[in-house]
Amino acid sequence: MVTSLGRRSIGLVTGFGQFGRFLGNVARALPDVRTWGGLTAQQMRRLGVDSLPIALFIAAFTGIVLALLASYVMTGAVPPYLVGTLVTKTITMELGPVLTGLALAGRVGANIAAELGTMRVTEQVDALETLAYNPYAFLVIPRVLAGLVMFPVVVAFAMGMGIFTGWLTATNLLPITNAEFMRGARLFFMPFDVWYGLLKSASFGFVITLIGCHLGLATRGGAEGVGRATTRTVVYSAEMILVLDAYWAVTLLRGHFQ
Amino acid sequence: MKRSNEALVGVSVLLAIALVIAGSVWLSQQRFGGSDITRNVRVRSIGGLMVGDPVLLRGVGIGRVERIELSANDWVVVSLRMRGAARSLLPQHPVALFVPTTLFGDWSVQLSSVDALPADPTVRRQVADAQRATHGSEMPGAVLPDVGQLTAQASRIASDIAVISSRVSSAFDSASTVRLRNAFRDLSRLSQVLRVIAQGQESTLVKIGGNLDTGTTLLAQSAASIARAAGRVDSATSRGQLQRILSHTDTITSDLTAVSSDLRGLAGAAASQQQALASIIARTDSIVGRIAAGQGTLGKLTRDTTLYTESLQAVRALRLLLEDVQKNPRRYFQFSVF
Repeated sequence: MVTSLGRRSIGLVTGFGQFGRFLGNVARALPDVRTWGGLTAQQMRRLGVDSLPIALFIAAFTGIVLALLASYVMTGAVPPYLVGTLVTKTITMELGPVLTGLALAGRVGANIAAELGTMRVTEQVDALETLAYNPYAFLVIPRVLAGLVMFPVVVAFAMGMGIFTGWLTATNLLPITNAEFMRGARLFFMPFDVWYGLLKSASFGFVITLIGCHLGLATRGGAEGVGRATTRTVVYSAEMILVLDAYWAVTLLRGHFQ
Repeated sequence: MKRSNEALVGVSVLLAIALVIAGSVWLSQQRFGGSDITRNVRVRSIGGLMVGDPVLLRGVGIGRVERIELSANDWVVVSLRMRGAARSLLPQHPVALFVPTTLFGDWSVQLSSVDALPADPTVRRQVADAQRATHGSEMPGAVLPDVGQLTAQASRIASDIAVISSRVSSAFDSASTVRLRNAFRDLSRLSQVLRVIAQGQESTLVKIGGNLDTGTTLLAQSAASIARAAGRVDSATSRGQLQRILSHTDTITSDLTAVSSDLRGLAGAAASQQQALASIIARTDSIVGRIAAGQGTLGKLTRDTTLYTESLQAVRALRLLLEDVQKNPRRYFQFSVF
């Protein structure tokens, strides 16, 4: 037991050290714009544009469920226009970024970890190094930049879709008029809500792609190692999304007056 | 492939930016291109007001709360962004009232004239306080009590009622209840006695009613008699009897006048007699005084016994003389014819 504890402790510290070295390598690769500049658009399309359908799908059903849930919870003396408030606030500030982030953690993070892990175990990364390519500039920075930029884009579309389907549900399936829903949506809306959600989603994209790249490049042990790296990427990404969600809430909402 | 990637990504990013901006602008009801005006409100507290809450003029939305800032000397400055058209619609001396609009924390800013303020003295005091501190085009503001304050007030009232009811219950203990019950029982007994008395007095009241009836009849007969007498008087008047009576009365009156003039003369004579009598009395009084003082003959008579004694001796001598005369008349009288 003591041996196990010691091994785990050493592994934890080693893991932090490896991640720190990874971040250092990424930072050193940043000036190599010629390498990562041309590859970023492709990653933005793969990570962002191609993720739009799944993000919109999730957001659409989230909006539907939120509207129904709000009308179920808010009965009696609660005015119906608060359904619009709840849908708008929840989609823009919480469920849009977090659910999209979790979905993309599975899709994008796993994709990156599997791809880079396979490249690592098949020694394609070594081949890049042999060809004088910086693997961090070639593989990591385009993906991280793409995640940083495209996650807010995807989440913005998801927000729009969630609010739209929430409005559609409220006005068609619930005894709520269009004016009531709009009143509730507008009554408590602040532009900060949107920026808060987009900032969170950018941080999610940054962390998901960074974890995927790190664990992918650290893959060892063939196909099994790739599978393990993929699984760990999804798990760590999901955990980090929730941690960051709480972090931004504590940082931005607690000190946000008026 | 590379170009199509870039195009797709570019379109996605542009669309997302457009979506975010358009959505934010639409949901926050921002306006572009209009000549919006901004007016500040100075107030001590904002209640539950938040940025984005509506600004209402006579119930019509004309803007939103743009900014809320703390200011020096415990003031809060609230910036209201309003449509340019509202500039000419604002009252001459506008006042901003922060009003809770629903039970769920919705607040709004209602603009009104200072003359149209509610009668609440707290609100008027807040406005007057803010008016003294406003600068330039700032508006004074006041906060109306929110639901929480009202419910707290209601809670205080309820607790007071509970205290009163507990005191009432302690005042009305079991002994009080028994006394109260006895009092009610006595009252019931009293009402029964009163009922019996009323039944007993019923026959008397019937008699009184009959007497009253008779009296009324008699009164009616008397009235008829009076009416007849009045008729007679009327007929007497018509035959000149009254004129004769009046002429007799005139005669009597003139006689009475003469009598009274005689009496008046008599009274004058009596007055002169009275004066004469008074002077007599005064003289008598002086005479008596002089007599009492021993002046004059009478005075001396009253004071000096010599005269009395001499008179008595004289009387005795006279009596002796008379006796002697009677006995010896020839001694004193000589009767001769020639």
